[in-house]
Amino acid sequence: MTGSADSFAGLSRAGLAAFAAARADALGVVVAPGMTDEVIENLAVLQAHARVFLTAAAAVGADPAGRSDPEGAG
Amino acid sequence: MGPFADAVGIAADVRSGRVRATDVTRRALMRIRDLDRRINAFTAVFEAEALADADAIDRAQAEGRALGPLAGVPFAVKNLFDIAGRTTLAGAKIRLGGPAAIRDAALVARFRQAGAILVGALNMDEFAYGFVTENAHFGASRNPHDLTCIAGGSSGGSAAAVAAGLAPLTLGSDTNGSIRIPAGLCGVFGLKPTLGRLPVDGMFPFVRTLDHAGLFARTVEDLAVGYDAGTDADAPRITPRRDALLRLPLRAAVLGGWFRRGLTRPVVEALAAAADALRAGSDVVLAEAEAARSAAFCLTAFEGGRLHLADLSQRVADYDPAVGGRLLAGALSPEAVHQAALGFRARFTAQVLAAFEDHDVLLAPITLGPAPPIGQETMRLDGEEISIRKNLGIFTQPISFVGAPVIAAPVRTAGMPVGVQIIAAPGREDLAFAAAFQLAQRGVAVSPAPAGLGAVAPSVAQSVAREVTAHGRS
Repeated sequence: MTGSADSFAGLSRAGLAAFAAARADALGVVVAPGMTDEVIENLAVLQAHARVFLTAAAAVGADPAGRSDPEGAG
Repeated sequence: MGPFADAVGIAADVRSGRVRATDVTRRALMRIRDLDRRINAFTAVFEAEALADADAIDRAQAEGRALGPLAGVPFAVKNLFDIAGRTTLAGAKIRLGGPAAIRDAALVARFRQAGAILVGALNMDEFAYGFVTENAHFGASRNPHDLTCIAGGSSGGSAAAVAAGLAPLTLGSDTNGSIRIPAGLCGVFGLKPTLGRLPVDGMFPFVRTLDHAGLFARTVEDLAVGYDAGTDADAPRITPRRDALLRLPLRAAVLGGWFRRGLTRPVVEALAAAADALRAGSDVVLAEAEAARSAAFCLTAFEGGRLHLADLSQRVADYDPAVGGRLLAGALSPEAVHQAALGFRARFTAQVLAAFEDHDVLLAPITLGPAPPIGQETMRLDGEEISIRKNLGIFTQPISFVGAPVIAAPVRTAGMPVGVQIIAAPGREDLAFAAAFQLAQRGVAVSPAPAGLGAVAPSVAQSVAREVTAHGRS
């Protein structure tokens, strides 16, 4: 569950928690129980920043993630 | 020779034999021993080694051998630079007791080859991930201008040491603002050169695609001589061109838009003073600066986190609580966001380069305002409370993202220090130096001596004098 940049940017809070758990599993990382909330909080900050630059890129039609036609708009 | 003697003057005096490197070093060690218990800039002081190195310089001088441009100049380094025979801490408890470095970092070695005397290692945010140098393991570095305030970070010890007159030159690193922010808050000059211009070999990495090595000084001339000593042998030098750069007409502008958000009055006045002195033209707006800052934020978290993946899994409790969770979140963030950030970087770099087609230097704030108190966690921006640790770099991150050279210049103010960024196109350190020389000559850029630090206690002076005598007999 690595997903695209856009799908990460669109995750809900619950989605972020599920994403973090799946990523930790995939990477073999153990997140200490007491740290889960803090990690999700920091992921939410990263998500907010990702939205900012992904939106800026999309606004002028460029695709920093390297896809040729992210919106299917030609 | 006072505690604020400049590196250029010290080296000239040592080369000519007017003063001994041993005496200069002894005085620096005395001042460190006396004052650093209050400032906490140093995590280690190398008294015996420094005195031995200084003695070697004095013997070389007595024998008529050629001495380098930094002969006898005390310097200290952020503790993420390798020092042969010592463990490189990078501000982290988990590195205590680790293997010692086999050799000096390349930049440390170049300074030593130029005759500089290494007197110690300096405090920092853990793994350079922060802007405050409030380190949970090694304590907070205090701002010499107000000991209740932060020195900034992550190279906080480096800036505080120079500001307090503990060393005329120090080395630091800058990934997102870690030289420029502490330089501005402590009122000293800082240089973040073009990405890759100064060697990062032997510097503990934070974000490999963004890490810059750089330095701090109290004068532009010292910054130049330090930069010259650190660059490759075939790189163009600044010092021989000082007079020409002082006269060089410059096309300057101030960055608007994102870079004017939420500025406090001292910063507004500092920017205006620098702009006026350089006869800056109309503002330049980098339309995607905010997005670039966000992309740099994500790139930093991902690369920084991935570097620590194994330790985060096994020893996260041993990390600074302010750092571990951030690194872990970065490590878990998706590769796709990292790739997107890299893509955005290329695009924003093109925008910045275009701005330099019509300008030699661009001026920008370093921070929103002067140094906040130690322990304060948030600051206000546009009516919103935001984390200081995560947001002190809002004006520095877009610039390091494109690898452009920047001199952080302290601007004369009535209160606590603030500074401005002097930004040039990649590879054009000479233009940033030209602007800094000109601002200094016009009295706009000045590194103020902190008031109230006091003189060296007589007991410390006697103690170091005894050690120097003992060393001389050994």
